[in-house]
Amino acid sequence: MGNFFDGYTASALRSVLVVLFLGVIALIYRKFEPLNLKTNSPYILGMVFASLFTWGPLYFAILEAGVGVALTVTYASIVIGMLFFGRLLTNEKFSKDKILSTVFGILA
Amino acid sequence: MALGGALISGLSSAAGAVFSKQIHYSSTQSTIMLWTTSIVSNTFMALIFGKSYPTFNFQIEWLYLVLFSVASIIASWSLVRGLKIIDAGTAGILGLLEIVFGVLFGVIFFQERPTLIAIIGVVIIIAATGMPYFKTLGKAKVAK
Repeated sequence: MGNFFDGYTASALRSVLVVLFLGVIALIYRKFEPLNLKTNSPYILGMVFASLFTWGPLYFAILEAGVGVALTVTYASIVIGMLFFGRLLTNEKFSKDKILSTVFGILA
Repeated sequence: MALGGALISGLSSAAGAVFSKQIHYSSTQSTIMLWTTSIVSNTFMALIFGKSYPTFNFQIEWLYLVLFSVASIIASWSLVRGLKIIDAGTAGILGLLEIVFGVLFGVIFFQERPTLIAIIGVVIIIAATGMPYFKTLGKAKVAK
């Protein structure tokens, strides 16, 4: 796609297309459920907040540090983040295997 | 500063994925919600930074965007479905397989030749992603 779309506009347009395609699939297979905003609003707000800082900083990092370095740091922080937020939000355990494979994964 | 940006992006991406695990919807609706929040935040950021939307004129880039969207549906639905079944930490480690497939697709589609260090990295990633399951596999063999 090159520089035809800007980072944020590409993400916004892609998101619109994904929601449209998935929406049609969900309609066909009757996968829509009640929103239950009372229960789910903290998670929805969390998702909005998290997505505010997903593309922009990555775009900036790629421009400043290059694709290779930026993506290496991003992949490593996704792995660490999944462990950290998994522990924080879902009370997952840090098993020895998980920590070892995380270290190996980041090294690789 | 740039690396800080990459770090924030990765952590935010992980947080979003874990929130989608916690939300009380099916995988399909959780994925739709994940992308709906992405529309809201990216449109907001595009407005803040004064970014304009290109006009549609049958350029090839629009087709690439559609194909990218289809790939995104498969990838994100699979991630959300997986997160509802396994730990976020394990899913994060399995996510590193994206790099392995990146190298593989580079070889298949662009005739790239991976360097020795890239191959070593790929082997370590495959071993690392299997680690959380080695014990389970061992126990299953003993039980048999």
